[in-house]
Amino acid sequence: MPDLLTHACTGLLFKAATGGRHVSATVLGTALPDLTSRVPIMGIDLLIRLGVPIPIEAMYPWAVLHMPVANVAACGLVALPFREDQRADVFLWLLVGSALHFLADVFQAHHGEGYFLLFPLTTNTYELGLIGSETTVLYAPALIVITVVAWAARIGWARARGRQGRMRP
Amino acid sequence: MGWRGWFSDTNKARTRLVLLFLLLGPAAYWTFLRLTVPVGYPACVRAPAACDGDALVLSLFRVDRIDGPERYVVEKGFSYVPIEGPTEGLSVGADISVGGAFRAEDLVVVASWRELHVLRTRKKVLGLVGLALLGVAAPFLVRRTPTGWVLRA
Repeated sequence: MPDLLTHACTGLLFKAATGGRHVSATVLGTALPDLTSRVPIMGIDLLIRLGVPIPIEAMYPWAVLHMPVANVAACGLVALPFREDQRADVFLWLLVGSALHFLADVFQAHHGEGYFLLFPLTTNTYELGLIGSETTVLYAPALIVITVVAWAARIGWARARGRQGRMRP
Repeated sequence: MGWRGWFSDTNKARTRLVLLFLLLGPAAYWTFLRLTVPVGYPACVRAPAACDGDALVLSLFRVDRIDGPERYVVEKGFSYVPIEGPTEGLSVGADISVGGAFRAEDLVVVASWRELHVLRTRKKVLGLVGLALLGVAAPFLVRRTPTGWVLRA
């Protein structure tokens, strides 16, 4: 997986290019598979290493949250506490963000150990293997700059349009 | 009822049940598989003779200890794998992927290649920065109202 910052940038760039509302839901969606899966696993791993008596098996169930089927459920459960008029849109944009996450992940190479994209239908793994597992680290600083520039341009463009609208009779 | 209807207040409880099933079903199945169907090195340890000479890939492990110029142990998720191969340039705690053949005689993986993931630490730092930024931004992006959370952006 690319790092969380790179994932968030892909969501921000996507929304800068396509426009529309629910930017935060999209960005949260790009982070959700890692937030709900990797973060708890790393937390449990750390606690065990610190001597907390937690069985190693406690790490296992969290892995499915980094797989699309369970991720759809996670997106839905995150969307449910939102107000009724926003709930379906939040779910939709969380899904879009998560799809961007999986797309970015699948570009990477892990020596054949890919991602379980179709679990529980199959335990086959998939990856395109186009970039190394740490390649995004090298491009993250540039990606952050591009994201900031894209959003500055987008906000500037929106303001200019607003001014034009106000000047019309 | 369109798919948006699933997220109406009327259907909220039913939707929650379906989503929990979608989440807990795969989680239970995955845990069952992890506990009962060993793959990779653990599978070879269970049936060494059948696995002798098989190619194994240990992706993104951590060097746990170095036992000599040609012996080291890698670890991931508290699963330890002894490796026979050059230790030059290795250090305890380094992130590594190793490929090699399983040797049944002493349950060792004889390394034919290895890759040190020198940027892994930087990747973890970027991940933590992303996590921190998300944590800082969250209260500004969502607010609570009596009828539910509301997105601000």
